[in-house]
Amino acid sequence: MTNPQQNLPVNVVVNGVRHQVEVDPRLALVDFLREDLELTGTNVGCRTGDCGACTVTVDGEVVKSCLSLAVSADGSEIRTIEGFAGEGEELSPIQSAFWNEFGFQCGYCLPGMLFCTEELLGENADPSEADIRHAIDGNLCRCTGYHGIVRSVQTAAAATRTCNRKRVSE
Amino acid sequence: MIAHRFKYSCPRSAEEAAAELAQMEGEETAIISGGTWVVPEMSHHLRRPKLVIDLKLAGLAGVSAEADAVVIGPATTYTQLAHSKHTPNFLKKVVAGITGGSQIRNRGTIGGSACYANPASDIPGALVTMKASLHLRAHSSTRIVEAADFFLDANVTLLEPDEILESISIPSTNDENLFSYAKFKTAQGSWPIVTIGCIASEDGVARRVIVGGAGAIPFAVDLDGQESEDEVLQRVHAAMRQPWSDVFATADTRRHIAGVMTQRAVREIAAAKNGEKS
Repeated sequence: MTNPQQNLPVNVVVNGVRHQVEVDPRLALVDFLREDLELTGTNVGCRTGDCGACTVTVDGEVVKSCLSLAVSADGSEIRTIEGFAGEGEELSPIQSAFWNEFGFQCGYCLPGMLFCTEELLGENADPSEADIRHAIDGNLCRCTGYHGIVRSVQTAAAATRTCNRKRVSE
Repeated sequence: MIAHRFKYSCPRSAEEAAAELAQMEGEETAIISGGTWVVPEMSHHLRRPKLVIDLKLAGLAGVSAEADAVVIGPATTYTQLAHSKHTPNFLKKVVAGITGGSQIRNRGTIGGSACYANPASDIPGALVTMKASLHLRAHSSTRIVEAADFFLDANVTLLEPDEILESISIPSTNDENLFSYAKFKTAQGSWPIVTIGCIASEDGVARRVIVGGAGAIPFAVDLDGQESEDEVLQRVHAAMRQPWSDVFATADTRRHIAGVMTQRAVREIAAAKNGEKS
């Protein structure tokens, strides 16, 4: 009565592209993205939800994709780090800030750092250092000691405010 | 890829989920509410359920206000609790500090944490502090248990294998009272070593402090409000019957921290009460 299932249909939009596929229910979302869709910018670190390297957004919410089954994402809209910059942008203002402020070295933690920065700046245009440290606290970086990352988020916040002011005045 | 095969199911209600559990006849099952425990445990082969029930379509997320209680669906995430206008203030303070980053607060759920009953989690102690009651559903029966009775041991609750947590009720009677919630962590991202929750009585006195993390299950420290700080410490140590020890802190460390933090909670409530008067 509990015959294990074979593949189940999954319909997702990833970085604006629709995928109608069948997946094994045992597949984690991170493995579906990396192996089936070949979007290897989403990294695998711990598989325990500690490191944040596998961060993506599902229906606009920042989540760790090692903690979800791919079948659970059926019907969702997903963004990975490959879809972080807008159309026509090489790098988004947040990515440029991390680049200019040396906010990363190996880059493994960037999916979590970038998406958490984006979520923070969406709620708080002028975060304090404490706000920034709280916002990125689900992500481990073993290169920078976090100082460069905090500086990057501050720069990204300033750039976003300038960008928004321009938009308002136009 | 998770090594062992399982049946995956997305029931549309708690009743449907309970009906599926009833057919399992003692086989191992797992319920995904947020998945933040169940999925990594399956990935690491620590859990080998025959049936995995995903609650995403079961309609069990949400916070609503009833006449004398706030009713919370077990699949309500910490982020949803933080944003709902009905969430009790005490609980808002608890969920704002959940460890693991916004990715975990966006996915982890109050019901999942309650049923997992990790000694170091915030939620077991918080539910006991708020005198929450838990509504459990089996295929052909329901029952209501108090949070103080629900937790039996580390990772062990009253929940039977064929039961599902259907809702959590928090009495709204004491939502206006003074409260204190604090926890001790070794690092920003670490599990709490000790959590301390207290909702003062109507006259603003800390009469019951709930200590989480220091024992295998949350425990209450009953006070009359007249104790010296040394006596508060003695009460904490006397109340600590199932000490919890792990790689992060020994039972002795937790005993010490629990005492100090309980003293602080009592002091904080007293200061808030005096502050209100002046």
